[in-house]
Amino acid sequence: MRRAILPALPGQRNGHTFHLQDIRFFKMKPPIFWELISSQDVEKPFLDFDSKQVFSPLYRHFGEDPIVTGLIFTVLVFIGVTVYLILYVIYLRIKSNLYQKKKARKFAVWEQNILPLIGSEVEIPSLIIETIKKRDYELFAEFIAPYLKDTKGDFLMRSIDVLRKVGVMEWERHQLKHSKLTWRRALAVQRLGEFRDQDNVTDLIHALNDEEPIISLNAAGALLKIGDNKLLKKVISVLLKNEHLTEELFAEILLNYESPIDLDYLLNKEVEKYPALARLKVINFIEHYNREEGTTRSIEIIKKSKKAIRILLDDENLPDEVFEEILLKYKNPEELEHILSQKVEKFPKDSMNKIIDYIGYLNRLEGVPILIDLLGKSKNDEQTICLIKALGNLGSEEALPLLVDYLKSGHPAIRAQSAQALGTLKDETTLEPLSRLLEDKDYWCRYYAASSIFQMGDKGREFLQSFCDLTQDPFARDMITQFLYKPQ
Amino acid sequence: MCLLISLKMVIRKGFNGSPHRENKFMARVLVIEDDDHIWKIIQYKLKSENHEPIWANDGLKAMKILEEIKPDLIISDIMVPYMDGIQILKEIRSKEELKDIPVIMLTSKSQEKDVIHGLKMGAQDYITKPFSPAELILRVNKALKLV
Repeated sequence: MRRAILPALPGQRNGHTFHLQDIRFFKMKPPIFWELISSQDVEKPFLDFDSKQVFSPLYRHFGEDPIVTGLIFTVLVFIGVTVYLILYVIYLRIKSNLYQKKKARKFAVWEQNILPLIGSEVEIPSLIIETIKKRDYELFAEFIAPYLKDTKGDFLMRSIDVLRKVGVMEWERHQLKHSKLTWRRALAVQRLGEFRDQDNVTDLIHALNDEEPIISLNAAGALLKIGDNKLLKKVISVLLKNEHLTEELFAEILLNYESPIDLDYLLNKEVEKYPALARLKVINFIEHYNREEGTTRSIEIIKKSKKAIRILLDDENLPDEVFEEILLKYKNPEELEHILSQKVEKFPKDSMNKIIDYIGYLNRLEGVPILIDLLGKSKNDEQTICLIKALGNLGSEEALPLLVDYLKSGHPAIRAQSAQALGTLKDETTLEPLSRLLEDKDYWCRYYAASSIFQMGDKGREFLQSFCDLTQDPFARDMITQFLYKPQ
Repeated sequence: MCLLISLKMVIRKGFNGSPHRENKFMARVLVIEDDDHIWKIIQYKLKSENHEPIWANDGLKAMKILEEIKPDLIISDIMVPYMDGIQILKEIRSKEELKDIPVIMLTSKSQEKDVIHGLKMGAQDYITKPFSPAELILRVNKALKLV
């Protein structure tokens, strides 16, 4: 009979000899068990010990205070949880290391053996296909995807063939359709794009309309990797309706396209078909290409983008925000002058004023006739001020008679602006009309008149001095004195 | 393990007709490419044509290799660390002993401008990513005047 000797528990005098056959007692019903262990046959029940004596060191220190007991319990739980977490992290680390080692081993074997086979004209043995198919198709997808990213031609075709045979294509399509994890679906979309298999097109088109932007936008990129111009048109038509699409993303997605892009399609058909903001996105993509300055291709693209901008600007229903964006992005004087000469009545005044201002700073004398023409027609004070300011910046003598006329305007700001503009021309014939403004009721008219005369050098200063001596207007004298005797 | 052994056996059998058996290399080709995967593909392809590939994964390593050996051909990516492909090309063309080495530029689609600059600097040819390894080998052989 095998015996087990239980160690002496604290509070127990000797170790209790316990027969293994006694274990059957525990299987008995409770009353029988308790009767037995309390009977004379069992010398001393081994479960009979005093818990206070077991934890006597703790009791000696802390007594029976429930708070202290609770604290001890909390500390013990915390230690337990910490130990569990540490062990769990160690387990994960070991598991990850083992996986990485396994992966590295397999990748090394595949690199040595399968890559040369794919790259050569030797037929890939079915045993290899079967081996991967049974065990490692997910790992194989991870292995092959980076090689396919930058390759095409025969290597790609043979790789696609292997991927199909191994079942990777099917597996990735399954992941795209059925995985509950968004990142896994996005990974599947990316991989299906890298694999560039025409069989994946249907599933990717379906993913193009996915609610998750990470899926839909990646699907667009993947489709462009696979597709031709026909597919490109389809992708763009869906993509431009995607509210998560930014200009940068759009350009990035289009850059996935490996065949020559049908720019005429993008610029003519698409530009006419889609909303203005979307059309601008197409043009921004072309702008992205423009960074490659100096190449024949970029010159061709720039020409086409100008044409596209014209198409946009000719749109009577062009929203203000698009118009503003064009102004910010395409500060091309010819385009801007075209806008001014054609569209001045149609577009928002603020935007037009921005163009007028901008042309003024460009120092392009070609813009002067347009501005003069506009100034002659202008019925809006704000625009008139902008035009006078721009003509002043351009310093065109052609504008001089018109600017002198505006010195008599009923609007003080227009008078002041005209006086300032005439200062840039430094024409002595304007001394007399400007002097009338020295006695103007408006401070800024007096200020700019004095300033413009002062800028004409010695002759201007002499004129101011003599005017100061003659005038009865104390405000005019005050203003002239400010300029003549201001500290140099 | 059993499967792995049988896989190796099958592969050896598959390679019986490959040109790897010959020991004498036809040309020594320096590949300057920081992408490990592209290097491996080029490496296998060059080996299959019995060329000897040498790898430099950045511009400085490439220049160090060029101090020691004179390759028959250089395939260089434009975007490599420390010294880009154009700088390397400039260095090569400025050195008397290296200036005759043909160079093929390997570039991505968006680096067209650099390619033109590279061709002006004396690059023999260029190939854009994604590339066909078979086409690359044809261009290599053409540059080496083997076809």
